[in-house]
Amino acid sequence: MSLGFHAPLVPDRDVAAFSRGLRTAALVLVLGAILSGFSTAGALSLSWRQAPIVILDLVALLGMVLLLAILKRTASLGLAVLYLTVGAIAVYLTTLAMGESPRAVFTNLLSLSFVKIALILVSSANGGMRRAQLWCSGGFIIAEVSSALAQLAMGDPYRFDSISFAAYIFIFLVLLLGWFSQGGGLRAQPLFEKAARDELIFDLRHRIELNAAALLHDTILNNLAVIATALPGPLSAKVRAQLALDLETLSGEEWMTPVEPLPAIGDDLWRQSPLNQAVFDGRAMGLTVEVTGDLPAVYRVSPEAGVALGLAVKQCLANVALHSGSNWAEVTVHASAEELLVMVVDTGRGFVELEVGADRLGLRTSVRQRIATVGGTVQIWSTPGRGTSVVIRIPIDQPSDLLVAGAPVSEDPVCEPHSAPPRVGGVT
Amino acid sequence: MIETEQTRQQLDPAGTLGAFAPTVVFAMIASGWAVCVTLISTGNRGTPVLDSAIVVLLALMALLFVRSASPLRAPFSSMSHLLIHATILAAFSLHAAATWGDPSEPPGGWGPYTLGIMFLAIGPYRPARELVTFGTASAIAMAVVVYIRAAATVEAPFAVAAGTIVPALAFCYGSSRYSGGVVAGLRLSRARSDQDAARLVDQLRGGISRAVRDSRVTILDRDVTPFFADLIARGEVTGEDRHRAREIAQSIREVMVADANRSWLQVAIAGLRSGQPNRFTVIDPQLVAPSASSQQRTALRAFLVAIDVDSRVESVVMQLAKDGGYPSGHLEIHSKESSAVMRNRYDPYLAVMKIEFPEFAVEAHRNTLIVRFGFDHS
Repeated sequence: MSLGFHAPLVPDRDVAAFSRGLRTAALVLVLGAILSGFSTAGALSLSWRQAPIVILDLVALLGMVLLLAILKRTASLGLAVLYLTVGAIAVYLTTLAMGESPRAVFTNLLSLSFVKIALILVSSANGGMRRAQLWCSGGFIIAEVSSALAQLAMGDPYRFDSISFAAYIFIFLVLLLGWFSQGGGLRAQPLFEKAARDELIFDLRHRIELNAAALLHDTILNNLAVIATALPGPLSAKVRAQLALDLETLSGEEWMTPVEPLPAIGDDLWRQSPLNQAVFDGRAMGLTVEVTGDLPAVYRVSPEAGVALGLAVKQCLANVALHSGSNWAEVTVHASAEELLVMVVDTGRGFVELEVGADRLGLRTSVRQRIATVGGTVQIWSTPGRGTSVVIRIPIDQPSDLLVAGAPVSEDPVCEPHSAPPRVGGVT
Repeated sequence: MIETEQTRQQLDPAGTLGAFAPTVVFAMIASGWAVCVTLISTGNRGTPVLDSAIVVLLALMALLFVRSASPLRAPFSSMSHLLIHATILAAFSLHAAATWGDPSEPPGGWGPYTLGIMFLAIGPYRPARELVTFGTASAIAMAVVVYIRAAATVEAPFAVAAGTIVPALAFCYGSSRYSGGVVAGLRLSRARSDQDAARLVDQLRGGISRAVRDSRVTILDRDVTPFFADLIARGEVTGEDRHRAREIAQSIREVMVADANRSWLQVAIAGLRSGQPNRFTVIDPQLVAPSASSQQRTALRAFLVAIDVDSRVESVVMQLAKDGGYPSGHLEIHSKESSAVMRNRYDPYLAVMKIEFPEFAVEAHRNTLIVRFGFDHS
């Protein structure tokens, strides 16, 4: 299994991309030869009758264009050989055509060189750089032999084409350098693979540990705090039930299993949400909790994020109940195209976050880190004597048009949770 | 919104290291050839000032090219690409001025070939669309210059202009095709890697969850479970229970704080297998390590493992801190070897870090290599 951090290009694929690049260059050169050659013919008022060989040349050049277009999609040995054959004919005819219009020597020379270079640029697919060098050399030899035969047929002495020879040397050098430069990063790749795997495992374990820590805080530590501050005397039935539930939850398997998807979107969205469960729990702590905003939007985050949000808000409300000195809190829900924003506001005594002891883990573990594990952020504004606002932002997972229109907005809904509320102790 | 195209250098910085040597060679060929042609012709045409300016511009172009493609200055920026085009075009325009009215000089001179060779070298560094856009614009600009110059001396100036720029266009589109193909291949590899990672997470999740649960239950079984069970059985809270509850809560908090503070870097260092962990010192009093992104952590982890397996390294000191509010790192590697050898050996890791960290610099001092990096400036 490869985790492929900065997965390097497989050398064969690199060569294939390089070959496609060369074929594209060849295609442009052939088109350039056609444009240059025939615009010259037009400018010099050469009629087709005067230069019938030009028409045959055009056909051969168009054949090269067609074959290059096919080769760019599906390269094969047969097609490459056919391309070289048609290219050899085109070079032959272009050399002959050159003799028909001796007045435009420069552009004719260019056109001929372009066709020859287009032959040199043919390269086999997935055959490695060495094989590409052989094809390149073959293309050059065929082009030169074809051109020499045409010159012989016209009775002209053989003229060595320095432009195409320079191009051949250069392209050969390019392929040679490409061959040497392959696999520059391959020697480091095993360590990147190992590092990526280690990071993946660390991240997974860390998230699981954070969830476990947050759950431990929400249950055991909260109840230990209740016991530590309780007046000596009989244990209330509520605390006794909570302790029994803690023991059952933490010794069971359920809290470490993945979160199940939330129920399908329906008309009682809010009731089934973990956030509603948190509000319900907050009211059970003796708080008056007002809920406002775009409540069905809580379903626009992922199920894991929904659960994390519910647990984080529950902790915020627990903090209000335990530390704020106020028995009132407001939970507001808003959503934009990018994020869900939930704000928990109280009018209690407030606090200075930096002065909170490092061992007080409520905000740190149960709110900040929990929300961070689902990609969200938490901001806290608190002024001593003027209350606290906790703003939780979580990235949206699905667009609003998937939600049911007309769901409750800006009202205080019934907070009795659904008969089967979603599990709240999952691992994300 | 137009999606920003990526380059091979961004997706595979370690692999692109291999392209640097050819880039240097091509930059030398592209500018060296044009400089040679200019110097050979300068005696015939009597334009020493223009020719000197051409040589300076071409040298600047080569320098800019090599500097921009250097792995330690990655990524190759769009602005550098634009400047290279501007320099070539400026030199080419001066060449046209210097050879104005001279029928013995080829209309395009070295221009389209220099531009074409430059395209061949730049493929791994810039995205396909940009290569086509800049290349086409530069080729058209050259064609206009060639047309104006050729109109006075040849019968078919348009054909000459069109023919002259064909090599530049050919290598421009070829390079663009290469860049696009390579990026597509890398994206495919990355998509497969993501699938592999998701499968690995699924495979490991159960085992890790059980291990975490067991470690927590072990802690709870020792203190909390018997305490709660006793309380439930007795049905009342005493002063001693209140004191005991505080003690247990404190001990659990200590464990949780230690867990929460343990960073990926501590785990990574602890996991090194050279048997010489004392060589590594990590100083992170402000707990900056968690600021690193997953990609940044992976790059650093790989680098640390590479250092760890290098027996010539004597000590490594990594200091992390918030520099002006921004998290940053300072890594010092002391070795028996020279810093130049170290730098060469660690090139792939440094290349990846250069791409992953928005701030990055390497200094070499005799036997010490110093790497500075900033996590984020957002």
